[in-house]
Amino acid sequence: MSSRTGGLTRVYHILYIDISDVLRPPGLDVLVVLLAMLGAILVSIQPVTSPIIASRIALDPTLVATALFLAIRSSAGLATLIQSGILNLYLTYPIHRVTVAVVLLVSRVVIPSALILATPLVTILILLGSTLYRGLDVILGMYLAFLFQAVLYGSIFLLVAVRVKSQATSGILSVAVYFTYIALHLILTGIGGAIGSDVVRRVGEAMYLPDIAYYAYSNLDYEVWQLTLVPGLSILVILAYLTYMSRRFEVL
Amino acid sequence: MEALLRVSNVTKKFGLVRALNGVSLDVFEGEVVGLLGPNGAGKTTLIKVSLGLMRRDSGSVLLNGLDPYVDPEARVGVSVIFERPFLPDSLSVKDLLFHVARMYGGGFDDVRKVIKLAGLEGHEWKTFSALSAGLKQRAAIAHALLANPRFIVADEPTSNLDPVERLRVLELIARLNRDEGITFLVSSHVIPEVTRVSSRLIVMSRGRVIASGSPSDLIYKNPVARIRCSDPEKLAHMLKTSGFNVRIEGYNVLVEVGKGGYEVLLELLTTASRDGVFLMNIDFIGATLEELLSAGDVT
Repeated sequence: MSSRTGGLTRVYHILYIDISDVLRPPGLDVLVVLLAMLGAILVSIQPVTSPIIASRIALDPTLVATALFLAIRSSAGLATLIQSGILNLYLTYPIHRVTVAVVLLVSRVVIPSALILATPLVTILILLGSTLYRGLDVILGMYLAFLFQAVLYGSIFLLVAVRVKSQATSGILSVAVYFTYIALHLILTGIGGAIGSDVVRRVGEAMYLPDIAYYAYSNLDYEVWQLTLVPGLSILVILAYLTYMSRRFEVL
Repeated sequence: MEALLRVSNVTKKFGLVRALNGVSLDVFEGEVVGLLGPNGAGKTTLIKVSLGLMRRDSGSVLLNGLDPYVDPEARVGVSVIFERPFLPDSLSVKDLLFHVARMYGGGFDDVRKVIKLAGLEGHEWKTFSALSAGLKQRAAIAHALLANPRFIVADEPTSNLDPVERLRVLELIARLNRDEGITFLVSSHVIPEVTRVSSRLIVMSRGRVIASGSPSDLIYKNPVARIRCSDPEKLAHMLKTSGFNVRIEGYNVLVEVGKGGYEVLLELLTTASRDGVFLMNIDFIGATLEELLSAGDVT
């Protein structure tokens, strides 16, 4: 009936099946329409000519929506996958469990984040393309900074989901982790400024990569290591997630 | 003969509970092995450990000669039907099966074949959640067949099904074993279902294998007579005083025939009938799960 196929073919088809679940309506489709409208409204209220400002106006609120989407659809969704036994089904395929974990990271974090964050930018570029097209590289840079930030949130949420394995708990914990992270970022930045500690302030700032990217493109004061904190944290969390999936994860 | 699955002295603990306690078993090509045991015996844990879905604490598992927890190639040609089947719901069953078929190098022809084989025709465009319990099980079977399996592990494949669907699923297992040569490991706690299809039985209790052998050795060696009568208390007393192991279930008296023999039992029943006990029905049935568990030294 069948013949042996390559690992990449298997990965593609699992990715297709899982992404169909992540993107199934209603969810991302509604969010995309709302964010496209938000982008249009924002640039209509405050027409800007700077690609840096335009990116921030569009992407700051979008990142909040992305984080909440990831907490609900990705983290709680992955926990549902575990509870329902579908993840067990994926693991019965002749594919290494690390590969399945990578597929889930791509389908549940990277692709939705990339799509959601791109939506208002596309609207803005359509509406203000004539003034912004010279700054496409800056817009792309800002987009990547926001994407890295979203991937950090998403990978933490996936780690939460595979650890707690409960839909409600992982959704609630993910939202709590997100707001704790934002609070920590604001507190460290504020405290650092208040007590005059440059290191604490810079660590606080570096926890939000779009701020540092904004400083970099605006020629404001920043240090290069600040650009590496969020990607570095993301890599650490992803490694922890992959290690847990390959060595410890099991569905009872 | 090379074993498709070889489990050797496997232990698995959940906290302080030993779910598997030194379990060893082999499954050979062409067999239908029934894994019997009450709920909590460790059947599902054993299946998950055997497939590499769960870590073992000690012992070894070889599936197709490879450790399935480490090497995913061990699962090539191996399919699973879980107790509560659940397939992704975002695609129609046919689309989903197509992607699974592509994973194994197949295509729409394979999908059509397994849909027909599993009896899913007319329902393939529905999503999984729109199917009835029986059709969900059939979809899970169709899904399992797409891997071109040599070996299918079915964890309580008939639970949640009505009697008609149960029979159909068991017939399908028997047909796939007979016609396609597929090896099965079927877990259940319902003896008549497992004995209907199994060539060999393995009985588990509290994380241990307590008995194994052919159905005739295990189930029918010590048959039980189920006697429906007008005065169960009186009949039970008569049989007990003659040395039979007896227990009463409602209007039925259950007698272990092996201890005294058929002839003696029939003579006693004749006497009881003369003494005014009206005998309505006599069935000779195999051992129950409780009897198998209490006679756990059969191996």
